[in-house]
Amino acid sequence: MPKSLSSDVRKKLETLRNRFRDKTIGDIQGLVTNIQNASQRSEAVNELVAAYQLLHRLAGSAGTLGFTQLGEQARKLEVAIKPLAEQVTEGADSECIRLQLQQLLDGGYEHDISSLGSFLGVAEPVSAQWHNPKRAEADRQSVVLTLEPDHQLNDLIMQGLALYGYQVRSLSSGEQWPDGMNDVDLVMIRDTLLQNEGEIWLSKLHSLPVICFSSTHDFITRYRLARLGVDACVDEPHDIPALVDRVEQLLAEGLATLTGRVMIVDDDKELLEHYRLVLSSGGLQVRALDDPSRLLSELADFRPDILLMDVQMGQYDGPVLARMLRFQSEWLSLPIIFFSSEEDRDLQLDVLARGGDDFVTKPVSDQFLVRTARIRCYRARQLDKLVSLDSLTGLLKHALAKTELNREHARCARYGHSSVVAMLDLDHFKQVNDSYGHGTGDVVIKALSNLLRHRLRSTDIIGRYGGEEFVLVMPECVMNEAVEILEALCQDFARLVFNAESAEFSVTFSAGVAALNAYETGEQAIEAADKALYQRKRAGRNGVTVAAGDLS
Amino acid sequence: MTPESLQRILMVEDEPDIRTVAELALEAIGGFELTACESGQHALKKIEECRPQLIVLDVMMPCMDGPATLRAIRAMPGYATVPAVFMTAKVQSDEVQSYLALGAAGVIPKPFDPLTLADQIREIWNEAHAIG
Repeated sequence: MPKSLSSDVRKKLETLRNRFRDKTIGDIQGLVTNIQNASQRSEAVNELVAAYQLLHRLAGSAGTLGFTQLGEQARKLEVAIKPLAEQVTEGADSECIRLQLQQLLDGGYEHDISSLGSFLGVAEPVSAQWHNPKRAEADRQSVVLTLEPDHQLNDLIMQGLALYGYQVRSLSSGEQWPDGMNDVDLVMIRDTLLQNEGEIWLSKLHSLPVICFSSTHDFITRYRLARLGVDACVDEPHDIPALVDRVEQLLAEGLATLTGRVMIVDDDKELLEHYRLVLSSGGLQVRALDDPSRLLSELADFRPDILLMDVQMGQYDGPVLARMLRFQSEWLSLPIIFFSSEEDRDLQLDVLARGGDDFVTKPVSDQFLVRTARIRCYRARQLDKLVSLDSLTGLLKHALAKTELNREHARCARYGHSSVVAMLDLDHFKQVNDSYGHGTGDVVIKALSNLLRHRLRSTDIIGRYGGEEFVLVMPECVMNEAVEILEALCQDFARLVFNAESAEFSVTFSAGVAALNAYETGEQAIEAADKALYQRKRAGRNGVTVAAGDLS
Repeated sequence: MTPESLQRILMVEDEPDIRTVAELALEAIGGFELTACESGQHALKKIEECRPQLIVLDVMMPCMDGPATLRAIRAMPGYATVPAVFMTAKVQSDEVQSYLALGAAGVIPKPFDPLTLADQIREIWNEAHAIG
């Protein structure tokens, strides 16, 4: 497949979206006219049918073209007008329909219809969830908004965060929250600005992660901040690496809640289909299975975060299936939740003892189902992270990084693309530990891992290989691109200032890179990158060296 | 036994914008061969030429709606069991049930995400084959 596929498709989608917008402006005008006519003259009530059909069409299509809000609003209006449109097709009395319509319009429907067009201004960016890995420069930067009255400190924070690749904006106190701030991902605010409860931005804080700069530790102040929706408190924001660490954590939590993989097993096909639709419209990835005997192969194929299962499915018993799954160590930690109409708590406890994790009592509301599944997926992913990620840096542990490397090596062989593996090592790290202590050394390691995670693509694999050594796998990336990215990272990392015991210092790192696809095994590629790393160390550190074999 | 792989899809959708998005989603992203028709009548004319392995139908269309189109296709020789997928903006369980009763292999809620449509269809296809 051509490499430019995704950008080509993206362009086409954008063209379609613009076309849809232009056309829909006219459609909405027609809709307003239809409704007006029908409300004024009883012989025109049949125009309601056209209005209903248009709303139905928008409800189904606007979201696909990126206008989700328009689609949702159209859905609401469609549902409200449907009974009237049905009366028209059934041939009910026109005047009676007209009066009902008039009542509906007076109740706010008129305003909703005429403001429908405003939603055409609100389109999501063409989705970031491309199947092909994105290029580093195409990754959207996270946007951080700062509200810090101390200008000097504010400048320091803005410069520091910019080095990590954040887009930083600031507002001074009393300034209005401008339009066009909808892309803000996180807010940082000084506690003194939160004293006035009437402040305009208070209402904005509940929907966003918020870090508060506050050195007040008393219970009442902290309780108040928590109530206002603050997620984290930072004493000393000028410690940029520590601040970035909090930012990373909060942003990562936000991302993890968005998605999840759910497998449902139920022998009632209709119910199964319903669950599938509800969960997938709730943004989850779903695999539905009506035949429990295929459970093992489907699990291996789909690898869900959680499993939802009925208690009794024909000849199969849910809890027995759960116990059977636990035979295999790879499914030991898979959360299993049962659907059960049993009100009997004792029986439920018995089932839990046999390998289930929780119950959802039937009948279950759609909303409850989606929320339960989301929360469960989130928790499952958090737990999984604890097991597979390095506790200090949140990067992959050595063994997992190697598994991922070998997987990418196999992908290179199959699809014929080039990928790059890099080994990174902090320069003179022992001196940092010896002079400032291990605590400070840990801060430096975390700073580098945050920088890497933030500046590389989400598809790049980053692992902590040893004490101060890191491994990177950059899929579908050519060598000169990789070198360019790593050299920029070297320069920016060297500019970070660390504080310890009233001393300020900076640290550099060296990198060795090798083309993953040029070697027979992933192991050999790592060795080549490692050799290049040591050449770099001998040649003066703070930079990138390409493996000798790759240069010819 | 490995299931036959899905190549040829026939889609019936009256809305031109959605047809174009679906073409992108299924051809450029999904790698299928898609024949997109604007009405049930058109689909009946095109079906011999395209010989679809799977049919995707919008439920609500003027003249001949999705279920009526499917009934007409099912009546043709060679298409009695071809898997069909309905796309609908309504996701109420009784309606879904009625589509499944018509023999649909799956229902895709509208609005659909163009980037995952191909995956959804592929999943329904695999499912249909695993059961069949």
